[in-house]
Amino acid sequence: MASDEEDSEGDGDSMDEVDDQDSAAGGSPREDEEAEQEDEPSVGTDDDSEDEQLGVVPSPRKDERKKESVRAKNGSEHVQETGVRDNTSDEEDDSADDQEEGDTNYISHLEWEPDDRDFPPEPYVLQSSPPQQWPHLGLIKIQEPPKIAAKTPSIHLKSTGKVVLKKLIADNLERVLKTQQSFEKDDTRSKSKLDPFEESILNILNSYRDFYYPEHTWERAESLRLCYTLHCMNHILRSRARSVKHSTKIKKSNSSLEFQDQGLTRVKALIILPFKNSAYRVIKLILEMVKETKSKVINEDRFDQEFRPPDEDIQGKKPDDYYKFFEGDTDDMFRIGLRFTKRRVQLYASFYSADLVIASPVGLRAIIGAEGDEKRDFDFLSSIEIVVLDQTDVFFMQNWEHVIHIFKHLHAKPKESHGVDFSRVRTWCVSDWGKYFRQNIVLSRFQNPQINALLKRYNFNYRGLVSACNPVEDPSIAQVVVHVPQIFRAFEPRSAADVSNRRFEFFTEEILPQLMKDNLVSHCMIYVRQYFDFVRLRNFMRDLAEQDAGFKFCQISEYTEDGRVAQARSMFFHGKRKFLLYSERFHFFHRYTIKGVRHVVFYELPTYPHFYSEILNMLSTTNQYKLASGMESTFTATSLYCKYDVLTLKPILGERRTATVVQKVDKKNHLFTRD
Amino acid sequence: MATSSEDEDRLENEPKTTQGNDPDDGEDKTTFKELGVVDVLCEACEALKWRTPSKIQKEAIPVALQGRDIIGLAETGSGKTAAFALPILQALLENPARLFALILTPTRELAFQISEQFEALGSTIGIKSAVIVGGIDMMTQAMMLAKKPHVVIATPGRLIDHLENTKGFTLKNLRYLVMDEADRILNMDFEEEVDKILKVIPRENRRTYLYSATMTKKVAKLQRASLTDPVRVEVSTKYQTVDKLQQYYLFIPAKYKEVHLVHLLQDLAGQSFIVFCATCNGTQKLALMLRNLGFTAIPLHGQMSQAKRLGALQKFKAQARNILLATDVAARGLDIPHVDVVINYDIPTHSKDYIHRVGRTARAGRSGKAVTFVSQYDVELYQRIEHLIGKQLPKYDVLEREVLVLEERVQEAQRFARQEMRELDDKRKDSKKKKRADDDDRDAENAPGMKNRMKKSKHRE
Repeated sequence: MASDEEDSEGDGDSMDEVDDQDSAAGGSPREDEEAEQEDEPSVGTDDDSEDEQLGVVPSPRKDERKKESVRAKNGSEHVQETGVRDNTSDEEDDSADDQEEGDTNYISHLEWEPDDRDFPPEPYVLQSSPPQQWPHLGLIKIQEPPKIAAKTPSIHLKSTGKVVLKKLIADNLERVLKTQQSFEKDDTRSKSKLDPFEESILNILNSYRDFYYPEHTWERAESLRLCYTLHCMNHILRSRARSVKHSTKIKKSNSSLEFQDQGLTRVKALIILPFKNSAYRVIKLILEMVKETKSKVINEDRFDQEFRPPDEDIQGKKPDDYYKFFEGDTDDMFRIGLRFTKRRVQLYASFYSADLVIASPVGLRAIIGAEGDEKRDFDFLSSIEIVVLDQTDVFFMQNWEHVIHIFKHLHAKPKESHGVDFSRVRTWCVSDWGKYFRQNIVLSRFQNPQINALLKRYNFNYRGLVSACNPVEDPSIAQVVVHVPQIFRAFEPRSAADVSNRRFEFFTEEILPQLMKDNLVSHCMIYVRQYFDFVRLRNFMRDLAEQDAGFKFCQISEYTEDGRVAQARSMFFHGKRKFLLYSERFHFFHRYTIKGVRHVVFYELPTYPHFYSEILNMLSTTNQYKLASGMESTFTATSLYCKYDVLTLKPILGERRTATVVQKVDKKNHLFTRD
Repeated sequence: MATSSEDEDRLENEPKTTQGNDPDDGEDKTTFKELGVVDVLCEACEALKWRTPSKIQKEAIPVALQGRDIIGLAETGSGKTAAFALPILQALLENPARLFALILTPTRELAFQISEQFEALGSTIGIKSAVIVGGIDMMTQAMMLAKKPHVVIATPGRLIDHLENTKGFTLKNLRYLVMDEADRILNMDFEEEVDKILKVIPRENRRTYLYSATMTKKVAKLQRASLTDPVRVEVSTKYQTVDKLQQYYLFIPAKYKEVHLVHLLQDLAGQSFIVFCATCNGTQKLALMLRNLGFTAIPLHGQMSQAKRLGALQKFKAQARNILLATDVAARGLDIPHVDVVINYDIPTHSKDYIHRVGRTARAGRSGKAVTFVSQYDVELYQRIEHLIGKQLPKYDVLEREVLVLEERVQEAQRFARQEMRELDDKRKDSKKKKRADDDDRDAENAPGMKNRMKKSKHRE
């Protein structure tokens, strides 16, 4: 009976229509939970007792400070009723029985009940700590918030060794690994267990500390994906097992036992990914993890239709990583809820009945809505316990504001109860401490002040943060093959907020006039990182062109139509336009080799370090139109920087050069050439 | 806890040596400790500068500590909150259970005041309380209840709402029930709700205290339904108003009520007033008129939001305003110190309300005045009041000439007030309209931009 209901419910709702989701859910999530419990052989058929909230039960005494958040009452009648096992007399053993192997971290993290006298840790400031060598990860920093450290149930951070997986996942591991291998096309090695790098990462994740890993590479991509997916699934299955077990006990005890083991809403984990292609892989891995002989996946066909990569293989002359970014389905508008019940996985579950939500920033943003929107919904984000940002770097190419917007709405107080049973809600959830228990996992290809700001402003994990901090080994500048003088010119903003204005003034007052005066300068590309700056420069140059008929420029941004792009490229190549305004996001999504570039100005250093060398290598003589011999010696590359750009400078210049550039305050211009 | 209510409590609990007519006075040296209150709580009382228990506390606390049910007849301001709070806190100390006690009160204001007292007395021993009243978001309250406070202070309607709609919230472990101002609860048609609540809380092992200013038939019925073998505690005789209270009536034509009010306020300038009106609109209009004449008046009525009401009360308590214009919402249960004069601008329709209204002044041994305006239409109602209190009141003497001098100014102020009322009304309507228009604009602006961005940020090739 229960299964039929779920089936029909699943087919009815649509991913794109938010409003459908609520109405489509046949029963409230909690009711389903009950149906689910009936599968358990040990549970009696007495079904309503849990809902009977007004039912008068003689009040036994209640003891408060019980371990493992078990609140039990020693009413003597109930002890007799429970019969075989005496639940109340030896609770500690009891809860120990409950734990499966590997549950320890889950329990000591999520079932810890902080005392409001020393919680939350405010102000939340992470204590600095020196980097330490970590097996397979190189240098990492472990930071913790002060004060409550002593009272927190400790979770030891293992550097190596196996993480105990839920039995179901462990049983399926070989198949999961096989699926993982299939994603790495060129990789032929087959493995039957997790490699040491993966184990190391998994150990950190399993300690429920925040994890910031700005050293994502294509080689590590699948390993990282597997790790966070394993961790989320471990977490979700553990939480489900605990909840089912507790429900059974509550029923057996005739509601005299109480367990606080749930959030205000059901979604426990949120994975934010840039494109459908990554979501497809994550979900494929998940489906392998929970596969059982009798298991059933609801809506798998629809998922296949909407997420499966197209058959054609894209290939061409573009850089390799381009094809990795854009392999498969590159739709960036998606969100999907996954619900796990006994022997059943439901894809496209409504967000109030799902355990896991996988979404793109814009996909989630569209549901959250903005202040004043009539239809908006973010209650389902109120009890997220794990949030994963994979390929955070790509979000900068999409819209970073969306990510911030999502973080602003995590752990907001729900507007409605959505049928939650308040007697099961964790104390720290109702005390509004959810954000301190949320584990944030941020994976990126580089460090960035904006990511740091996000971590600082929105992450409050009371267990602290583990971050990788290896020095840059392969700076982008080493990839530059052309012999062009690379000039780094410093400007001096008064504050971080002043950077944008100072940069503009510096460019329009110093750099641009020099370029315009110099008759040798033509074919000059101005590489602009942010669209806001792009528009500002474009408007400025338009005004300039109106005053001065000799000043001509063309522009290419992500909003330029295809025909216009071709036109602009041609005019620039043939020298009909002296300047080209070129936006970074256009480059990311197209990765054209712009021909004819003889001078380049990095208005701001590129987000992706390797774009620096990639753009610079366009200045090769083979790309030029009617180049007078000897002219190649006049080519230049100029980059604007200030002291707030250290994090972007590092992967481009390398540690040593960055240090010289930044530390020599009095020296405003630095010149590098390829030797 | 607000300082002002602290003052109030201190006044209530000070030895009343000035009251020579009280036979108890001579030996009024009992301490809380002698009543059986444990040391921790005695210290808490000490911290609040309560030295000696009030009469009702002396009567009720020992009985309560014996574990008996209590029916208490006492008025607001007699210190009865502490009379039930202390025994409950003491029981909590022995057995610190969650959702242990429920206090039912008729009004939101009263609920907040009781909670203040619980916080003040119980904070040192870590007692948490929650106020569950209307006008506040259900979800916020559901989360407060899910934290399982020790004491819940509620108005019956909202509590029932939670018992029925907040899944997982039960009172099945309740050990103490207090019905404060029971007559008022029942008069407000909460009878059904109270019955429902009684049905879902345990009967056995539960202590119940029922406090009421008057003993009506309904209260007696409730007593039979909820209390087992109660001890009756009474501190003041029925319907008797305090001796220190000077009560007057003023017989005037209805059309001169405003002028007389202004005259009275001028006559007694420098004191603090509560002026009781029959309607919300009435308080609003009078407040505007009085402000036009330079009085610092503030209205308090049922159409104001909870936050505004508390704000108004706070301003009055802090003496930033000295005239409070209230409807019967505020008639009872408010802990307002410094009320020197009560003016019944509109005569109370229920004569028992008269007792409650004038009970706002002459409290804690101080003197006070009450003036009731009686117009040609109110004679019968007024006679009922005289019948109820069992005495005839003297007339409040005014010089008609003096009053009528004011008439022109008052009429002008009234005209302004009417105009302001109209403007307020218009503004309210306008802002509604405007808001709708704004929403439309915003939608129109946002929608295409958003769509474009989504389309464009997508990778194309």
